[in-house]
Amino acid sequence: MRLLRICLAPQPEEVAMVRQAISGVGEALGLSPRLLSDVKLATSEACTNAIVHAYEDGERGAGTLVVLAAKAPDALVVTVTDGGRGIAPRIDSTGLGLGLPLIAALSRSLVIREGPGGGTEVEMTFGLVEDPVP
Amino acid sequence: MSLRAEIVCGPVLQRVLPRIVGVLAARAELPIDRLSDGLLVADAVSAAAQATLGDDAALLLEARADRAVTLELGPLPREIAEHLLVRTSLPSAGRIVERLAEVELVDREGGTTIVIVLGPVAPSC
Repeated sequence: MRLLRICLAPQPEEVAMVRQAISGVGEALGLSPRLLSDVKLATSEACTNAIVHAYEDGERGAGTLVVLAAKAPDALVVTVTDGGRGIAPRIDSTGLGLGLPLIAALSRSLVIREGPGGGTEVEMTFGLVEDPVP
Repeated sequence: MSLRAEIVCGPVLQRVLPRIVGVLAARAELPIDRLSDGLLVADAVSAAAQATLGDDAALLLEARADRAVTLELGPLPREIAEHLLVRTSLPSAGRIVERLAEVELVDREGGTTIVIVLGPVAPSC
Protein backbone atom coordinates (compact mmCIF):
# COMPACT_ATOMS: atom_id res chain seq x y z
CA MET A 1 0.00 0.00 0.00
CA ARG A 2 1.42 3.33 -1.04
CA LEU A 3 1.75 5.70 1.91
CA LEU A 4 3.66 8.63 0.49
CA ARG A 5 5.02 9.85 -2.82
CA ILE A 6 6.97 13.07 -2.77
CA CYS A 7 8.55 14.74 -5.78
CA LEU A 8 11.16 17.45 -5.27
CA ALA A 9 14.00 19.20 -7.04
CA PRO A 10 17.29 17.32 -6.60
CA GLN A 11 18.84 20.02 -4.44
CA PRO A 12 20.85 19.43 -1.25
CA GLU A 13 18.43 21.35 0.97
CA GLU A 14 15.61 18.98 -0.01
CA VAL A 15 17.20 16.09 1.88
CA ALA A 16 15.93 17.67 5.11
CA MET A 17 12.40 17.68 3.73
CA VAL A 18 12.67 14.01 2.75
CA ARG A 19 13.97 13.10 6.23
CA GLN A 20 11.04 14.88 7.83
CA ALA A 21 8.50 13.21 5.57
CA ILE A 22 10.00 9.75 6.09
CA SER A 23 10.12 10.37 9.85
CA GLY A 24 6.38 10.99 9.76
CA VAL A 25 5.78 7.76 7.86
CA GLY A 26 7.95 5.78 10.28
CA GLU A 27 6.19 7.28 13.27
CA ALA A 28 2.80 6.44 11.78
CA LEU A 29 3.93 2.82 11.37
CA GLY A 30 5.16 2.71 14.97
CA LEU A 31 8.80 2.03 14.14
CA SER A 32 11.18 1.94 17.07
CA PRO A 33 13.54 4.92 17.40
CA ARG A 34 16.48 2.76 16.23
CA LEU A 35 14.66 1.48 13.16
CA LEU A 36 13.40 4.95 12.33
CA SER A 37 16.94 6.26 12.59
CA ASP A 38 18.10 3.54 10.15
CA VAL A 39 15.33 4.38 7.69
CA LYS A 40 16.11 8.11 7.83
CA LEU A 41 19.84 7.59 7.41
CA ALA A 42 19.52 5.15 4.52
CA THR A 43 16.97 7.36 2.76
CA SER A 44 19.17 10.41 3.25
CA GLU A 45 22.12 8.55 1.75
CA ALA A 46 20.09 7.45 -1.27
CA CYS A 47 18.86 11.00 -1.84
CA THR A 48 22.34 12.42 -1.40
CA ASN A 49 23.69 9.95 -3.97
CA ALA A 50 21.04 11.06 -6.44
CA ILE A 51 21.73 14.73 -5.83
CA VAL A 52 25.51 14.41 -6.03
CA HIS A 53 25.91 11.81 -8.78
CA ALA A 54 22.80 11.69 -10.98
CA TYR A 55 23.12 15.02 -12.71
CA GLU A 56 25.87 16.92 -14.44
CA ASP A 57 26.46 20.42 -13.13
CA GLY A 58 23.80 22.65 -14.57
CA GLU A 59 21.38 19.80 -15.31
CA ARG A 60 20.11 19.52 -11.77
CA GLY A 61 17.63 22.39 -12.05
CA ALA A 62 15.53 20.44 -14.54
CA GLY A 63 15.81 17.13 -12.69
CA THR A 64 13.55 15.43 -10.23
CA LEU A 65 13.92 13.40 -7.09
CA VAL A 66 11.02 11.11 -6.25
CA VAL A 67 10.72 9.32 -2.92
CA LEU A 68 8.06 6.68 -2.49
CA ALA A 69 7.18 4.93 0.77
CA ALA A 70 4.95 1.89 0.71
CA LYS A 71 3.88 -0.65 3.31
CA ALA A 72 4.32 -4.32 2.55
CA PRO A 73 2.87 -6.99 4.89
CA ASP A 74 5.83 -6.92 7.25
CA ALA A 75 8.03 -4.22 5.81
CA LEU A 76 8.42 -0.60 4.82
CA VAL A 77 9.70 -0.15 1.27
CA VAL A 78 11.31 3.17 0.40
CA THR A 79 12.22 3.88 -3.21
CA VAL A 80 14.34 6.83 -4.31
CA THR A 81 14.27 7.58 -8.03
CA ASP A 82 16.11 10.20 -10.03
CA GLY A 83 15.88 11.14 -13.68
CA GLY A 84 19.60 11.48 -14.15
CA ARG A 85 22.29 9.76 -16.18
CA GLY A 86 22.07 6.35 -14.57
CA ILE A 87 24.71 4.28 -12.84
CA ALA A 88 28.20 4.68 -14.20
CA PRO A 89 31.71 4.71 -12.75
CA ARG A 90 32.95 8.19 -11.86
CA ILE A 91 36.67 8.59 -11.70
CA ASP A 92 36.20 12.21 -10.65
CA SER A 93 34.07 11.31 -7.62
CA THR A 94 35.34 12.83 -4.38
CA GLY A 95 33.14 10.60 -2.21
CA LEU A 96 34.46 7.74 -0.08
CA GLY A 97 32.07 5.26 -1.66
CA LEU A 98 30.43 4.46 1.66
CA GLY A 99 26.88 5.39 0.73
CA LEU A 100 25.64 2.17 -0.84
CA PRO A 101 27.38 -0.17 1.64
CA LEU A 102 25.83 1.87 4.44
CA ILE A 103 22.37 1.60 2.89
CA ALA A 104 22.87 -2.15 2.43
CA ALA A 105 23.89 -2.52 6.06
CA LEU A 106 20.91 -0.54 7.37
CA SER A 107 18.21 -2.12 5.22
CA ARG A 108 16.85 -5.65 5.06
CA SER A 109 17.32 -5.64 1.29
CA LEU A 110 18.57 -3.23 -1.33
CA VAL A 111 17.81 -3.25 -5.05
CA ILE A 112 19.40 -0.82 -7.51
CA ARG A 113 18.04 -0.69 -11.03
CA GLU A 114 17.44 1.62 -13.93
CA GLY A 115 14.54 3.97 -13.28
CA PRO A 116 11.54 4.29 -15.56
CA GLY A 117 12.90 7.54 -17.02
CA GLY A 118 16.42 6.21 -17.50
CA GLY A 119 17.81 7.39 -14.17
CA THR A 120 18.48 5.25 -11.13
CA GLU A 121 16.01 3.66 -8.75
CA VAL A 122 17.15 2.59 -5.30
CA GLU A 123 14.67 0.37 -3.48
CA MET A 124 15.27 -0.21 0.21
CA THR A 125 13.23 -2.60 2.34
CA PHE A 126 13.12 -2.28 6.11
CA GLY A 127 11.51 -4.51 8.70
CA LEU A 128 8.75 -3.03 10.84
CA VAL A 129 10.26 -4.53 13.98
CA GLU A 130 13.89 -4.87 14.92
CA ASP A 131 15.52 -8.13 13.91
CA PRO A 132 16.55 -10.21 16.93
CA VAL A 133 20.21 -9.87 17.84
CA PRO A 134 21.97 -13.16 16.88
CA MET B 1 11.48 25.42 -2.84
CA SER B 2 8.48 23.46 -3.98
CA LEU B 3 7.23 19.90 -3.90
CA ARG B 4 4.41 17.69 -5.06
CA ALA B 5 3.18 14.88 -2.87
CA GLU B 6 0.54 12.21 -2.51
CA ILE B 7 -0.02 11.31 1.11
CA VAL B 8 -2.40 8.65 2.33
CA CYS B 9 -4.99 10.02 4.76
CA GLY B 10 -5.01 8.89 8.37
CA PRO B 11 -2.00 8.54 10.67
CA VAL B 12 0.52 9.11 7.86
CA LEU B 13 -0.99 12.44 6.76
CA GLN B 14 -1.39 13.49 10.40
CA ARG B 15 2.33 13.04 10.94
CA VAL B 16 3.73 14.07 7.57
CA LEU B 17 1.77 17.23 6.75
CA PRO B 18 2.77 19.19 9.90
CA ARG B 19 6.41 18.26 9.25
CA ILE B 20 6.22 19.48 5.66
CA VAL B 21 4.61 22.72 6.81
CA GLY B 22 7.27 23.12 9.49
CA VAL B 23 10.12 22.81 6.99
CA LEU B 24 8.43 25.19 4.55
CA ALA B 25 7.74 27.71 7.30
CA ALA B 26 11.40 27.67 8.24
CA ARG B 27 12.38 28.17 4.59
CA ALA B 28 9.93 31.07 4.30
CA GLU B 29 11.38 32.51 7.52
CA LEU B 30 7.96 32.84 9.08
CA PRO B 31 7.93 34.10 12.67
CA ILE B 32 7.46 31.50 15.39
CA ASP B 33 3.79 32.38 16.00
CA ARG B 34 3.03 31.78 12.34
CA LEU B 35 4.93 28.49 12.43
CA SER B 36 2.65 27.51 15.27
CA ASP B 37 -0.38 28.65 13.24
CA GLY B 38 0.87 26.59 10.32
CA LEU B 39 1.07 23.48 12.47
CA LEU B 40 -2.50 24.06 13.66
CA VAL B 41 -3.62 24.42 10.06
CA ALA B 42 -1.82 21.20 9.11
CA ASP B 43 -3.39 19.33 12.02
CA ALA B 44 -6.86 20.63 11.16
CA VAL B 45 -6.50 19.78 7.46
CA SER B 46 -5.15 16.30 8.23
CA ALA B 47 -8.03 15.47 10.53
CA ALA B 48 -10.61 16.91 8.13
CA ALA B 49 -9.10 15.07 5.16
CA GLN B 50 -9.29 11.76 7.00
CA ALA B 51 -12.90 12.40 7.99
CA THR B 52 -13.86 13.57 4.50
CA LEU B 53 -11.86 11.34 2.16
CA GLY B 54 -11.43 8.21 4.29
CA ASP B 55 -8.40 6.32 5.57
CA ASP B 56 -7.05 4.84 2.36
CA ALA B 57 -7.50 7.85 0.08
CA ALA B 58 -4.47 9.89 -0.92
CA LEU B 59 -4.44 13.66 -0.57
CA LEU B 60 -2.66 15.43 -3.42
CA LEU B 61 -0.51 18.32 -2.29
CA GLU B 62 1.55 20.94 -4.05
CA ALA B 63 3.48 23.14 -1.67
CA ARG B 64 5.99 25.93 -1.95
CA ALA B 65 7.82 28.42 0.23
CA ASP B 66 8.87 31.89 -0.82
CA ARG B 67 7.83 34.73 1.47
CA ALA B 68 4.84 32.65 2.50
CA VAL B 69 3.93 29.00 2.64
CA THR B 70 1.42 27.97 0.01
CA LEU B 71 -0.40 24.64 0.19
CA GLU B 72 -2.55 23.50 -2.69
CA LEU B 73 -4.76 20.53 -1.84
CA GLY B 74 -6.51 18.67 -4.62
CA PRO B 75 -7.95 18.66 -7.18
CA LEU B 76 -11.10 17.45 -5.47
CA PRO B 77 -14.76 17.52 -6.43
CA ARG B 78 -15.99 20.98 -5.38
CA GLU B 79 -18.46 19.70 -2.80
CA ILE B 80 -15.75 17.54 -1.23
CA ALA B 81 -13.37 20.50 -1.06
CA GLU B 82 -16.05 22.63 0.60
CA HIS B 83 -16.92 19.80 2.98
CA LEU B 84 -13.27 19.34 3.91
CA LEU B 85 -12.99 23.01 4.85
CA VAL B 86 -16.19 22.85 6.89
CA ARG B 87 -14.75 19.86 8.76
CA THR B 88 -11.82 21.95 9.97
CA SER B 89 -14.29 23.71 12.27
CA LEU B 90 -14.00 23.47 16.02
CA PRO B 91 -17.10 24.14 18.17
CA SER B 92 -15.53 27.02 20.06
CA ALA B 93 -13.13 28.36 17.45
CA GLY B 94 -14.98 28.09 14.13
CA ARG B 95 -13.20 27.34 10.88
CA ILE B 96 -9.62 27.27 12.08
CA VAL B 97 -7.93 27.27 8.68
CA GLU B 98 -9.72 30.37 7.42
CA ARG B 99 -8.93 32.24 10.62
CA LEU B 100 -5.22 31.50 10.46
CA ALA B 101 -4.53 31.60 6.73
CA GLU B 102 -5.85 32.96 3.49
CA VAL B 103 -7.98 30.27 1.89
CA GLU B 104 -9.38 30.14 -1.59
CA LEU B 105 -11.17 27.48 -3.60
CA VAL B 106 -9.88 27.53 -7.16
CA ASP B 107 -11.67 25.66 -9.94
CA ARG B 108 -9.21 24.10 -12.36
CA GLU B 109 -9.20 21.33 -14.88
CA GLY B 110 -9.79 18.15 -12.91
CA GLY B 111 -11.62 19.72 -9.99
CA THR B 112 -11.35 22.26 -7.22
CA THR B 113 -8.10 23.02 -5.43
CA ILE B 114 -8.00 24.35 -1.88
CA VAL B 115 -5.28 27.01 -1.81
CA ILE B 116 -4.01 27.90 1.66
CA VAL B 117 -1.50 30.71 2.07
CA LEU B 118 0.30 31.23 5.34
CA GLY B 119 2.03 34.58 5.26
CA PRO B 120 4.12 36.24 7.95
CA VAL B 121 1.02 37.91 9.41
CA ALA B 122 -2.35 36.29 10.19
CA PRO B 123 -5.24 37.44 7.95
CA SER B 124 -7.15 38.99 10.86
CA CYS B 125 -4.23 41.19 11.97
